[in-house]
Amino acid sequence: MKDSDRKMGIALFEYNRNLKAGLDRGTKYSELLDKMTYTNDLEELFNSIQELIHFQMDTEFVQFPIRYSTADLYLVFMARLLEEHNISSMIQMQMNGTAGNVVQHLTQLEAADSFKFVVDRNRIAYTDVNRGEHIFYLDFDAKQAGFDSNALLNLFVVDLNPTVGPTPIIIAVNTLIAFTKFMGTDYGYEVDYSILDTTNASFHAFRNRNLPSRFIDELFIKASENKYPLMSYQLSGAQLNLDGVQLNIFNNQDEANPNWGLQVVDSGENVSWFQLLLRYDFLKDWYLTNLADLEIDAD
Amino acid sequence: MNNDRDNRATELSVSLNAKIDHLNALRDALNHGDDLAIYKLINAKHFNEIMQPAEPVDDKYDVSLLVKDLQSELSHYLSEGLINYLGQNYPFFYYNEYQFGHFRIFFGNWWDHKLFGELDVLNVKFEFNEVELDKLGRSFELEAENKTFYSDEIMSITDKSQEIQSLIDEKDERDAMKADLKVAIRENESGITMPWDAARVKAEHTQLTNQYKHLVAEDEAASEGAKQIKQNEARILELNKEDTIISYEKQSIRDCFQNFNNFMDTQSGLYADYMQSLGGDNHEG
Repeated sequence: MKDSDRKMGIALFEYNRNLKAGLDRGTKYSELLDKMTYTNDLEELFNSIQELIHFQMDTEFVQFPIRYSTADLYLVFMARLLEEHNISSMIQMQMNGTAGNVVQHLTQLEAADSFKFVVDRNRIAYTDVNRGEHIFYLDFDAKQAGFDSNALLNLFVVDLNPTVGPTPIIIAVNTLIAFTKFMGTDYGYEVDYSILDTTNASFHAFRNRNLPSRFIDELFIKASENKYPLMSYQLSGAQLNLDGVQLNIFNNQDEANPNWGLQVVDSGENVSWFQLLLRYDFLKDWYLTNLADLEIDAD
Repeated sequence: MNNDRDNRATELSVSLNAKIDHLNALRDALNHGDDLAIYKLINAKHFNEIMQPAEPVDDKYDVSLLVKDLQSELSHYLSEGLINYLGQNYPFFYYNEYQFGHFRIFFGNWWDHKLFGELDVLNVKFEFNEVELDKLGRSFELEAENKTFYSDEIMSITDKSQEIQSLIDEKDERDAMKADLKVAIRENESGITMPWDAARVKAEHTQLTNQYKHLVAEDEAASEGAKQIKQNEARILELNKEDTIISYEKQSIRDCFQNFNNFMDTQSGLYADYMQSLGGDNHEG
C-alpha cells in the first residue's frame, strides 16, 4: 500500500468516525425525544427535558438545523406534564416544526391570546405573545415557581376580561395553577400563587400597611352603589358578602403597629382575589385606581 | 319618756321592716329571674304611672334609693332580657357594654356604623344622640325634595371645584392676556402725553394695571387650586359616606316601621310594651 493511500485511509476513517459520532448524537437526541414524548415516569420526563435542553447535538461534522429551542421544549414539557395528569384538553399546542415557533393556546381563551416561555438563564417565564406579560416563572436553581400579580392584572383583568369574560379566564388560569401545583407535588417546587391564592387563611397585606380609612370609605360607597353593603368586621375592619364569598379587610395586628390587608373566604376555598376582580367591576375599579396603596403581594 | 322612746323605736322598726320586706321582695324576684317584679320594685312610681295596674305597686319606698349603689349590677342583669326583646323590634340596633351595666347603641353593623346613643336599661329607654336622630329625621323629610342630607353641600363643593378647575384650565389664555397687557402698559407709560390728555392716560394706566393684577390673583388662586380640589374631593368622599350610612339607616327604619314617625311613636311606648311582654297588665290600652 502506498503511503498516500494509507494517509487517505486514515483521513477517511477519521472522517467517518466523526460522522458516526455526530450521527450518534442525533440518534441519542431522538431517543431522548422519544423518552420525553412517551414516558409515564414523571422523574424521567423531567430529566429527559433537562437533558434535551443541555444536549449538544451539533458537531463540526454533523449539524441539525431544524430543532426545537429551549423555550419550545419547556412548553412541550408543560403540555406533557398536564397530559400525564389528564388535563391536556385545557391547552392546545401549535407546533410549527422549527425553533421558536411553538406556541400554546389556552383552550378557554380561544384565539384571544397565545403563550410561550421566555428563557432567562435558569429561569423561564410563561409569557403571553400579544403583550409580553410574564404570567409566571419557574426557577430551576431555586426550585421555585411564582405568579406575577401585575402581569395577571394587566393581561386578564384589564385586557381580556371585557371581551372574554370572567368564567373562561378563571378556567384557563386554573390550568396554569394546576401546572405549577404539579411542579410542587411532582418535583418539590415551592409555589407562590400571589393573587391566585384561594386558601381562606391567607392574609394578603396591602402595600400601604397603615391603610387610611378613606380607602375603605370609598369602597363602602362604591359597594353600596352596586347593592353590596360593606359591613363592619372585627374591631375596625370591613366585610363584603359577595354572593356567598366573604371579602374581609382588616388590620391583623394592632393599632400601634398596623398591618392592613385582605382575605377571601369561601366554603370551598376556590375563590381568589383575582377571581373577585374579574367578577366585580366596582372592586376592580377601586383596586386599580388605588393600586399605589392597595396593591397586595407586591414584590 | 321611756314609753315614748319605745313607741318611736317600734314605729321605726316597722318602717325598717317595710324596707327590708321590699329588699327581700327584690332579692326573691332576682332569685326567681322575675324581671317584671324587679322593674316594679326598682321604680314603682314609674311602673304605676305608665302601667296603671288594677293593684298599684306599693311605691311608699323608693327601692331605687336603697339599691343606688347596685344600679350598674341591676342594669347589667336586666340588659340580657331587654336587649333580647329589643332585637325583635329593633333588629338594626347593636349594643356594646362599654362599662359594666352601661350600653352604647350602634345603628347597624355596616362599615363605620354610628354611635347612636345609649340604652337606659333601668328605665327601658333609648337615649338617642340628638344630632344623629335629627339628621335621620331630616333625611326622611328631604326625600320629598329628592335630596339627601348632604346633597346640597356636595353640589356646592363640586361647583367650587369646577370653578377652580376652569381657573387652572385658563392659564394659557391668561398668560396671553398678561403679555398683551404688558405691552399696553409699556405703551401707555412711554407715550408723550399732552397735558390735556394726562388724566385720560392716567386713568387708562390704572385700568390696565388693575386688569393685570386681577389676572395675577387668578394665577395664584389657580396654583393653590390643585390642593383645594384634592381637599374638596376628600370632603365629598366624607359626605358621600355619611349619606350612604344614612341611607342604610333609613332603609332599616323603613323595613321595620314603614316611616320615621312610626319609629318615634313606637319607642315612646317602649316601657309599657316591654312590661306587657314580661306579663304585666296594662290597663291603659
